[in-house]
Amino acid sequence: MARNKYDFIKEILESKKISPAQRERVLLLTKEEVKKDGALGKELEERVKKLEEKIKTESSSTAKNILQHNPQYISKYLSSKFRENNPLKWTTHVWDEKKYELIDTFITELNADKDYSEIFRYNRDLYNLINYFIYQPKIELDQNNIPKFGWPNLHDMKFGWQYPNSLIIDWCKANFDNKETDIKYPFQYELPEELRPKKPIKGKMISTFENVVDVFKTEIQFRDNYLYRELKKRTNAINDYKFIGIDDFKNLDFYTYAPGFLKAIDTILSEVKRNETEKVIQFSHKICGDELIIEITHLSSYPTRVLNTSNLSQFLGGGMNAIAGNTFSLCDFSVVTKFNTSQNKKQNGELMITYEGSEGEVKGNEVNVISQLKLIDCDNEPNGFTYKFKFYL
Amino acid sequence: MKILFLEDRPSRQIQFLPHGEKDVEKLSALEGVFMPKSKDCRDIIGQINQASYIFDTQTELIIVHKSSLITEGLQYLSEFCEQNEVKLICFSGGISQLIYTNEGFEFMNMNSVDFYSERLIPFIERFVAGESETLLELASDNFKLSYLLTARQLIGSIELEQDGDAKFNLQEKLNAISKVLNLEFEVKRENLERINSEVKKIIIQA
Repeated sequence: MARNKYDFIKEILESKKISPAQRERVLLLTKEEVKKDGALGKELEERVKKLEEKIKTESSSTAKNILQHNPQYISKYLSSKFRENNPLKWTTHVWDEKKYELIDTFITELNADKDYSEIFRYNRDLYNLINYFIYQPKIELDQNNIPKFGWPNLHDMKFGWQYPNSLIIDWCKANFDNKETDIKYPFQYELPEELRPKKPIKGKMISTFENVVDVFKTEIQFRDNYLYRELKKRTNAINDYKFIGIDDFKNLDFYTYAPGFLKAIDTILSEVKRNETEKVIQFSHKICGDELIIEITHLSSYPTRVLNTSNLSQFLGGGMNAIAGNTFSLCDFSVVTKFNTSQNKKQNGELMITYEGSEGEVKGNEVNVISQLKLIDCDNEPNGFTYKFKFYL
Repeated sequence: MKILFLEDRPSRQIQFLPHGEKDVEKLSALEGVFMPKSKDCRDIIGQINQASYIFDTQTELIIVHKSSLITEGLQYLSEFCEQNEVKLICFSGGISQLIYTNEGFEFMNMNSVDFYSERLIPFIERFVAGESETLLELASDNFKLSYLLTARQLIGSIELEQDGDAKFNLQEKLNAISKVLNLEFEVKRENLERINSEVKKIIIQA
């Protein structure tokens, strides 16, 4: 049992059960508390400072599991690397002109670009996807000599420019390098039978490298009507709810890790299905300068959970955590609604869950937000519960 | 002006058009086609990307290099085309599958190599003369037959498909084909005989 205030605080801070966000909150409250204690407070303040430093040192050992929220970097990386003129563009664009005489020149240029390694700090699934598709990730084979692991969202996709081995490079050396006639381009490469996924991927059987490239492109970009079709597919499966605004998503093209955002939408739809009285969901989007804002509003639905204004993180349930984790570093995520606060008040506000400076912790396949949330007052009267995603273009 | 043609990499035209420079000159000289060069072209694309370009009200078809557009530009263009029933063709090396829709407005996405084919100039000439019915004429001489055959195949696949997701995708494709073909009847299982008879008609005519 704690002997005094300091011991009690120490016990809490050393407990393994509290999250980094809660630990941060305790330190903040402690600082306020010790200020009230005059001379004794000064002594306590020093001891709290030491404790804080100790915690910081300990937490640096777990830093490799900490992600920084940086949607601007990811968006810029994808849109510049895969669209503008640089080697990575030619991993997804048909080689409509002979830019390289030798496949090795192309591969050397790809390997020289190390910018993708930065993504490791922001979004692990996207980092792994790019690693499998372009580079040489660590490989483990099963008893049949087939790689055990594939793309993060599509485990049966076990092929890339340099994965699982140099098959495509060797083929290019024989069919592409220095050829003037009867030239074959990398996309024409036919995958060996044992590396082809057994089932269709996104509705198509995968047999050539071009098929692989086509799937990759829809993993890093919502192209043409892909987002629209995915929304339609999901909402068609929920018969007794009304979905409005989906038609406006036709031809909405933007770069992001598409499976992450689609998983977030799946979670939102599971969340809204829990409310069986309000059955209208509104989808909308707008582009403001370099920002694309997508909103999904469960109309006339308001939270029953109380918002503890002294500890905003308590508002996050499993669903909301999953949405934040799936969209981590892809876009800023917030919810806008009329909250019931712990002071028994109604407050119109926007609860910022991930924003510039947020941190997440990787736990298994999940990412948990560990930074404090922020609450911003909102002038407009919310028309329900809105999930808001801000992408950077 | 009937056609606004925005190609920010003119060297590609010379490379892919069957008669190179000669075809580019012919294209530029066609009446009703506005194909701005270098800086002028980039300026227009820049204004589209900022959603500020004022289109000529006579425009009936816009052809643009897709990779030159950012999200906002493509949205602006799509909205303009939908509101004014203007047709849109996007081409790019990054497009490997031909995509065509006629929901709201006619829209086609195609690969640069397929776009700069021997069909391009005759298609543009027919379009300017008001003799073109659909953008698909640019993609294939036998698009109707291809679509009918694909529809027949899809109907069979939908019946056999067990996976809900895949079934939905196949049904969506069939619905889109039904809209493209614009026949007197809906393209579905119950009308298989009528689909077969359309196929026969085209083969006999050929």
